[in-house]
Amino acid sequence: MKLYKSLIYREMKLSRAYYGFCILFFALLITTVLVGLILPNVDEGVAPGEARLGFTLVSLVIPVLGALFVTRDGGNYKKDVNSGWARAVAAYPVTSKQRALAELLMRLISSLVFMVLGSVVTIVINANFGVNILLPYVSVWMLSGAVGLLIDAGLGVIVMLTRDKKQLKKYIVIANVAMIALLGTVAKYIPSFDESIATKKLLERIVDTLYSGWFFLICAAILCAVSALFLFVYARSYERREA
Amino acid sequence: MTAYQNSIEINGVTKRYDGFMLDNISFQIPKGCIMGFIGQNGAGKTTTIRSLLHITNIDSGEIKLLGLDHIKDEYEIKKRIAVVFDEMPFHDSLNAKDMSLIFEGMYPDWDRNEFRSYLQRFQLPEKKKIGKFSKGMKMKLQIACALSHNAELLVMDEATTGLDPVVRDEILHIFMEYLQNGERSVLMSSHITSDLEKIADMVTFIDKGRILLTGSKDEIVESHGILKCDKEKLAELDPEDVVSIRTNNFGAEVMVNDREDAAFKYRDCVIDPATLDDIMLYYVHRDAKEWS
Repeated sequence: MKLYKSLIYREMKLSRAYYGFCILFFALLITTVLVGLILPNVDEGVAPGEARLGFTLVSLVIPVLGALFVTRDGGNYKKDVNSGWARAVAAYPVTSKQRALAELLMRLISSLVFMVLGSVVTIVINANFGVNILLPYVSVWMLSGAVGLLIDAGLGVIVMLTRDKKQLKKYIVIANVAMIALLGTVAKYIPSFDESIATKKLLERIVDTLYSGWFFLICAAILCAVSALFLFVYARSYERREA
Repeated sequence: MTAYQNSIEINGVTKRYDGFMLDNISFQIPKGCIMGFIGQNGAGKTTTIRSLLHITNIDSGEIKLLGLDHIKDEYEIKKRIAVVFDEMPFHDSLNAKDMSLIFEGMYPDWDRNEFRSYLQRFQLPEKKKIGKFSKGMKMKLQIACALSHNAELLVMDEATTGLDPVVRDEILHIFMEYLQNGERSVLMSSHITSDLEKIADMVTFIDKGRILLTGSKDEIVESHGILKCDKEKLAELDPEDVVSIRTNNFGAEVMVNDREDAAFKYRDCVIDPATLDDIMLYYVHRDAKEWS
């Protein structure tokens, strides 16, 4: 336990600037969402059904973006390579699995802290409009956090496959192009939203899903699976010795 | 804890790279000794150190540290050894206090008070960012970290290179203190042979990936000598006695590998004592035999 405390302390210390940026970004995001939701509705009031639909969809931008930022590598990988730590740590009594687990724990802990901080939005919305969005907020946070970890696990695989900096840059460009192509393809299948009853029904079904217990469980399961994958990839990546 | 005679035992280690090879190297460091590991840049010192720390995999051979297998018992070994690198691997934004907190979790025997006493002794500030340290201060901090967890073996890779003589002398003095209980050992790779002449008990000389000499420093230095003679005399020398010959306008300086024997054989020649620097220089040119 003492070892993990030390490793997490080091990671946190090196990530201070990144988390500072995350706090600013997060504060700005929360403020924008709250102002955008409360101001137009506070005087006029809003129908209960409308409130649930609109508030849920708009406020979930907080866990989507927040978790995605907080679970990413804040530049520590590069810092460790540049300072020589990545190479020197092989001479210290810490295994690659311990390092990977510390890395994962750090991201999950920071993600949890930000999730709790962001939950102020759910309290404000509940207090003002009687809509409790806590369940979808947590579910979406877990799902988005899993995406953040998955992206870094993917980058970890790329790092393992590369032999030098030039090749690393090439693979990252290829991965980015592939990602854009994939998003473009997915976007084609997203239906266009209009004011029609059909669209409204579709959105209501989506929101119902977000509020369901099974969606929460699926998100938790995805986060667990991605965490295990992240652990495996990072442990393998740290295990790699000089050729 | 395993009882052991030799802190390091390297037997028949081979490692092939494109254009370089560690060629079947073997040497031992008995417990309680300082071994100087010398050789010119690119000779294979760092590769040997990386191999014994299992930072790099070897192709064949066997390495034991503190009586334990360097792969099977890697993490047990690493708790009980300390490594000082030529470049400091701690991030610039951290400070000495952070390093203490980090190493405290890694090493079961980390002694915070010992670390603090080294910081005071080296006049290193606890809270100043490492990025603002001078090169000498950075090296002292690395050494303070290395000596604060009761390590039985200290491995140093060119750690004194680039430091001024005052700092180097201070560091060497600390190593002497560190070895006083007779249970600890040091492997010190360097091409600054004057440092090793001061403190090493043993010397291993590596060149082009092969061990040329290994053993007691005093025996190595005492057995070698520089024979001074004119060019006509050179023809009379037994090639078996000669390491290499440095020629100049006035004659030649010949490194002999058995000074006592050479003094008998070549009574009309002056034979000066050799330094580690001389030995390194003449052995590096052993293939050319004559050089100037």
